[in-house]
Amino acid sequence: MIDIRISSCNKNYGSLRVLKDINLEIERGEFIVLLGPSGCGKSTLLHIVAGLDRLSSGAIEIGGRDVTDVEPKDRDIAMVFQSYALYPTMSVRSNMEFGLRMRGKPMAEIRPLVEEKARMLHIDHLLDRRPSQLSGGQRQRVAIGRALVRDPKVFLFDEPLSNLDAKLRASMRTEIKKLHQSLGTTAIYVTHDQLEAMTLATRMVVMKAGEIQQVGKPEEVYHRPVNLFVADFLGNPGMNFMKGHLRLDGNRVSADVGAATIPLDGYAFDEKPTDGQAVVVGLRPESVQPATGGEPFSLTLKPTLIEHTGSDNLVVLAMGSEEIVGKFPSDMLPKLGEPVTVGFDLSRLSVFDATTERRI
Amino acid sequence: MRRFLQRHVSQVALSPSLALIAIFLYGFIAYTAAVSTTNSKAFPRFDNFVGLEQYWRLFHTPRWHVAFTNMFLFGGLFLLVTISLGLLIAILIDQRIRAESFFRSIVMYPMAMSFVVTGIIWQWLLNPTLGIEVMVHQLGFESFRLDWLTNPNTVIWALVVAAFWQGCGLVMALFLAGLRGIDEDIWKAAAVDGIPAWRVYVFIVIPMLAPVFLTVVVLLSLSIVRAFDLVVALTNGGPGVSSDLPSVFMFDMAFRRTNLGLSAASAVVMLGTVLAILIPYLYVETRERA
Amino acid sequence: MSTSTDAMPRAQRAGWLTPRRAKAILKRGVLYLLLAIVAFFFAGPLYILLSTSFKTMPEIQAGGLMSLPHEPTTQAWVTAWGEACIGITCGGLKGYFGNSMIMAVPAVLISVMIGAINGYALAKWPFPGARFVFAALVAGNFVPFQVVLAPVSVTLRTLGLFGSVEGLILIHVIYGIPITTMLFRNFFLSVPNDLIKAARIDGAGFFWIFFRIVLPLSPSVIVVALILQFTGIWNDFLFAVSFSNPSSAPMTVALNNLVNSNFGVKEYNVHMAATVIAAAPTLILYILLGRYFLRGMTAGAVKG
Repeated sequence: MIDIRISSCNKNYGSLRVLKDINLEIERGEFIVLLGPSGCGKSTLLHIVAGLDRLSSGAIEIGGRDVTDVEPKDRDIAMVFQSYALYPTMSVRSNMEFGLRMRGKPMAEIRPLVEEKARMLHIDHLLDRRPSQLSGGQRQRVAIGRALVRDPKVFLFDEPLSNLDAKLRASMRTEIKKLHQSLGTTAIYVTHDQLEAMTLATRMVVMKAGEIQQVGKPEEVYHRPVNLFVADFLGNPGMNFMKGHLRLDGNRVSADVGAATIPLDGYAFDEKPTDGQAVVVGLRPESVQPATGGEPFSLTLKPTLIEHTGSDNLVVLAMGSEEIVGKFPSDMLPKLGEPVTVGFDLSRLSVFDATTERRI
Repeated sequence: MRRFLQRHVSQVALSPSLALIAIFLYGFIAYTAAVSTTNSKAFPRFDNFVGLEQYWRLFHTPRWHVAFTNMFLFGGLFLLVTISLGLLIAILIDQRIRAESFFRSIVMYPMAMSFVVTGIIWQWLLNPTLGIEVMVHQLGFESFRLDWLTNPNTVIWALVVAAFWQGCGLVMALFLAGLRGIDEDIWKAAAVDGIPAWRVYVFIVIPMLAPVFLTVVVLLSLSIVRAFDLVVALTNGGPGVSSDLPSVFMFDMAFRRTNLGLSAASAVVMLGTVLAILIPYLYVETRERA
Repeated sequence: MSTSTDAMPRAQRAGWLTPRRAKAILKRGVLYLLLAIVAFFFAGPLYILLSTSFKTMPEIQAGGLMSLPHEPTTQAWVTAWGEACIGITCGGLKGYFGNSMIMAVPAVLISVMIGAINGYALAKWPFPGARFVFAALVAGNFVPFQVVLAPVSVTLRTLGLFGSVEGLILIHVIYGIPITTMLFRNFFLSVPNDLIKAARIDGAGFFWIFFRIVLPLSPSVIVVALILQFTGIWNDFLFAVSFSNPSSAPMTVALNNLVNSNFGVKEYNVHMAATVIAAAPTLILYILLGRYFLRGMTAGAVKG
């Protein structure tokens, strides 16, 4: 069942086109993450769904109702902001009560609701404090609590964890995931943090310059990026790119990337490959591993730099005039300058046309 | 209708103000400009168009010459005195002195006084038979003369000293804020390099205060063009018309001499002077921000 | 200041008057001397004003500008407040003080209210053209009001408000819009936009958010605006002298008429007391709320 439908949505500021013909359908209960670099329009899209920004053309439906011209308060949504946006002059309790009071719900019903949600988020002991007396993590819990109390049809999150330190961010991320699993409310979540996107999303939407690049399950977007931008944007360290040309030999296809020829027999082409086509072959570092002998394809390369991250060793390998990075297990420590044999996991390859930058 | 109000509540809330300003400011400026092209006397009339004749008359009126010249003379002296002493006092107060807030308050309290009050106070102090002159005589300096108020050649100094007394606090405060805004490390670096304090001020700190200077010059210049109450209370333009300013001239022509056309022309010239100060300033400001 | 060479070691041992230290003390001495001169220049006039207002006329004529009154008397104050002749009436300043109050208080409250709403609308509910509207409103700060005097005079006559306190209130409210709008708009820019958005999603409207969320965050700017407007309106002379008549004249006009009239004997002690009375309200505001006062003056320095 479609819960949110965004149709042909455009947003212009003067001559600046912030959103270009966005179409997106969101099922009930999905957790959609909008991901992209700053300025890609993801926040604007969220604000348009919230009704805080007006769209230049197009339509928004929530729960089967056209809400394009409906005020934010009448859209049955709740939103969590990066800056928390707690009302500074009100207590935590008043902050959480506010939305329901504005809707004319009797206080007798509001009180137990607020206390229940506060207990759920472990902020019940803070109810009579002012926001200024809370830590960052506590404020974010209050902001989430304020949204929960409303029991809306849709939750909107605008980079809610960006102001927290790394450790708190990880634990709040887990908590948000749990909340979504138990409540099952549709949510749209904006972030520029790919880790948040990968872990939280049931489907993610990668955006760039006001356009949707790819929509899909996190693992699908990660392993089958539709273009070079998505491939490059996701993953840390980034995907290895090897420039080369396709060679068609009967019904066998391979990519000549200068230092090596990579067989593409098992690769599922989206488009029909042509001989001599300029391509970029992408392979994630974790698909470049020390060879164990059973690989269908391996190369012997010279390590030029090794970075220890603790859990892995990132090994930079010279490959002709280019370099690729392999993510080795921490107990696999090659020596600098001494060639190692690495296996390529060809089932994880991505091949892009060099001019259109699209996956082929 | 309800929806319209809800969606455009911001514009609706602003529209009364916008309408009032459109009429009372822009409309009235146009009105005055229109009057300045007529031969209106006691009441504005628009059936006697004379083109730019009032402006020609204005600049052939000796009294306007005095007033217009005085504006630049008074303005130049006032700017010079207030900026140099205001900066000096700000530097003195910035020396980690004891009772800093006491000295600051004393320099700044005249800001709370109206120009009328300021004018009256200095009229009293500069009165040759009662004020500072008598006091100095009683100290034994019999030949001391302080006849600014009665001497047409020096009366402008009376305006300068009174305006300085009233306006120095603001200038000092702006400079002090500027001095406080300068990175402490600059002083530390200069101390390490062994540069004497006065050199740091002259070659490093004061150039860094350039934006404050610009602000101060513009603020003071605007107040100079508009100066009115101070002159009325302190000298009333006298002796004769020797301390006249454009604002006083304008007021006199409008309300006492019933020569609205000429008065309107002088008001438009005043507005033009303000624009001549403001437009370059805004140009510089917006260019720096961009 | 150099210490003699044979005294130097002892001085250094004692850790007291080394040349370096002596130089520092001398520098500090000069610094405080200069500050004392500055303080005398600025504070002196107020001292003279006050002390003269408690003197008798014979004592004033005997000279001694800086001396304290020999026989302090409040007679001049009583005369200034209730008996001094201003123009043809001899009821002292009290009526004009009242005029100023009933003019300033409503004018201040209304113009601050309007400015707050305008500033809020411009800063937090922007719309296409909001910047232009802001510029058009704020440009009013720079206009010398001489350029509108004649048409305002005509308008007030047409409305039947010329020479009335109500007329002055109207004029001060209208010409207060640019400065109060600018002050509030600039302050409200610092109020987080997310706060407004959160409240809109929670169901609050334009005015609800203004009164319940934005205003409670802004006590300091409200105080600054109140001070700025009160000082400006109380001290105004141009509008007062142009649009009032003898019965509605505010303090500034009455004081100028009292002191600068050419009739009768000049009672300087009365003039001084009258001047202090005229300056008192703004001076008290300055003493009580100095910090806000400075912010107000800095913001208000641009206006006409």
